[in-house]
Amino acid sequence: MTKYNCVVVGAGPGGSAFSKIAVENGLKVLMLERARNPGEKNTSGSTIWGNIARKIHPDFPADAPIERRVDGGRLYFVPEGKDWEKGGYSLVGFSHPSKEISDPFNVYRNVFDKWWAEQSVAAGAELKTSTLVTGVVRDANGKIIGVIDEKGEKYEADIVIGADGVLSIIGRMAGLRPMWGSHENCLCCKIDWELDEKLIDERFGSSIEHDDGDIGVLLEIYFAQPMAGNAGYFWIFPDRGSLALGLGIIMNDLIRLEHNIWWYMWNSINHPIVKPKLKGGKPRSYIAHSIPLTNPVGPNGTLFKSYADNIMLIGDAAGFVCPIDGAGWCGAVSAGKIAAEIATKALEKGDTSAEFFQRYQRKWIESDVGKNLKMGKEMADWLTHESGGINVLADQFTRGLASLMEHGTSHEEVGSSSINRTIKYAQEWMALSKPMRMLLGPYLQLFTSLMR
Amino acid sequence: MKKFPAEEFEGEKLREKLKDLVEMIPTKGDNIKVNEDKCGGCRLCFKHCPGGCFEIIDGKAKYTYPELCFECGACVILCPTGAIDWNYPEGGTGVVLRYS
Ligand SMILES: Cc1cc2nc3c(=O)[nH]c(=O)nc-3n(C[C@H](O)[C@H](O)[C@H](O)COP(=O)(O)OP(=O)(O)OC[C@H]3O[C@@H](n4cnc5c(N)ncnc54)[C@H](O)[C@@H]3O)c2cc1C
Ligand code: SF4
Ligand code: SF4
Repeated sequence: MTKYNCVVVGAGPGGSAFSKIAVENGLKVLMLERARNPGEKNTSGSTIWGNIARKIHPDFPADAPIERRVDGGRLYFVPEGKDWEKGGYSLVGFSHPSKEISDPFNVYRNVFDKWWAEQSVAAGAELKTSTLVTGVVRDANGKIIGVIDEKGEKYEADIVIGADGVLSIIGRMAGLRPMWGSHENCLCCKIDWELDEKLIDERFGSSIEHDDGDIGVLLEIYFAQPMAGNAGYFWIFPDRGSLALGLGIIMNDLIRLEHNIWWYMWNSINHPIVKPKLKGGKPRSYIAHSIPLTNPVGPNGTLFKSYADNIMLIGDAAGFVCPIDGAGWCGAVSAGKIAAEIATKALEKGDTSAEFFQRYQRKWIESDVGKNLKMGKEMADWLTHESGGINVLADQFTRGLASLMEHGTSHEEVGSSSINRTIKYAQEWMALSKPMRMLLGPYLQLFTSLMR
Repeated sequence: MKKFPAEEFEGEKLREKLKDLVEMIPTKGDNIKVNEDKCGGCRLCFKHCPGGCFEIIDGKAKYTYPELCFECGACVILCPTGAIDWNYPEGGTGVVLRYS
């Protein structure tokens, strides 16, 4: 049996990022993937970020299979009881002009993840597909020394990397985390909606003029009572010749909601404000997947360990997803890089113990991965518990906006302390490289300038 | 705004909507099992499975339609009595997410 330095379970964004850096550092790496091709089982909005991708591929997006450049977004708030047909409230924000800070693109994960994994293979990693890993292999002392697949084949390694997504078998088998509960999982459904490129340009194109003449798009996010109550959000992420229509609802909320997720999806795509934007197109595929909204960086520290002797967890498997917007691509890729650097050092020192891997946890907590999680968690908690939910917030914002429009610059009617707090949170949050910065940015500018 | 009836998105009607636009490499479908002794018949899996994979017969859930399983985990996560044994299908089989 070949012994590897690292066996990586899951060739998604995290697993492939880890592998690329690890082989470049001279490690012998095997990736195991249950799909026939990496990406075939994976889905997301799907927005990814060039500034993060360049941590792994310095010349990104060079030959990467990109669908669309993202120039910004529109955020829609629909307060409860307000009738959108009589005019809703929307806010437009543009992405940060500096590509170092935010450089978003929309992709098809089934195409993009395959390409992303191929780059790691080209760099020297081995990849075995159609292979479902079912457990970890332990030595007589109970230490993990590899993994086993459904056919009973064993793969030995100095270090096992669990990059196997939200339902992570590796994380569970290693005893690092359970199957997360209904309050920690957000069920998402998606429709890929085929639509003529020109219609997409007209309806979603941004006003930014690019040197190459390409038209970038605006993402749309709807916080809307008729769509998913205050339990989730509906989104439209435009690609080249199609729109990704998505809806996410926390599973715990599904239990109390009257309907199931497809019902909310159908009402969203038939909503008077959405329907005209989809006109002329048709559905091309249906998808469902879960997003982990757990909290690895709890208010009292770390809820579970992302490492043990000879093992580290990265990406969704470790819950590295922003609890407020559900973005986890950056967390998976950044943590993949950090883990690869730690793995390299560990092997140099000949020490792959849990004690050594404490460094991994410390590093990701200090990095943007941990900062995003912490801030996102605080804001999500505040939104759901203290502020009375996104609808109340939406209501305050929209009432505020309306009164500003009516009364010029008077902010008396707007000036509730919760708006001040929202601004504070959002400002802190936006200080990080987040998609919300481009969405919330102009909104907050308006408020802060008027509150002064 | 016109609202749709709930039944449109459950059971046979849901499967009818999804089936032509979900690609599947045939699986045995034995990766998900309902332990009938533990099933309390709460219908959560039936109502919320996005693939419409469950039926409720005589107050017990049955995993009868594996053809549209998205491998999302919602059934096992939602089940209040731990009645669902859940695993991924065999490597290289199951749902293929196109345009994802
Ligand atoms: C609908 C939706 C929309 C989203 N939108 C966005 C977005 O726009 N932007 C963003 O940043 N994030 C988004 N996310 C989150 C993002 O998709 C994830 O955070 C990201 O994919 C995590 O990457 P990963 O490598 O950790 O895991 P995954 O992408 O889940 O990859 C895990 C890989 O492991 C494989 N695997 C799993 N188990 C096994 C096993 N036992 N044996 C072998 N292989 C296995 C899988 O097939 C898969 O290839 C979204 C998620 C969803 C569901
Ligand atoms: S994993 Fe998801 S799609 Fe499959 S049976 Fe369970 S709920 Fe349905
Ligand atoms: S969710 Fe569990 S208890 Fe409820 S019907 Fe389904 S299997 Fe039975």
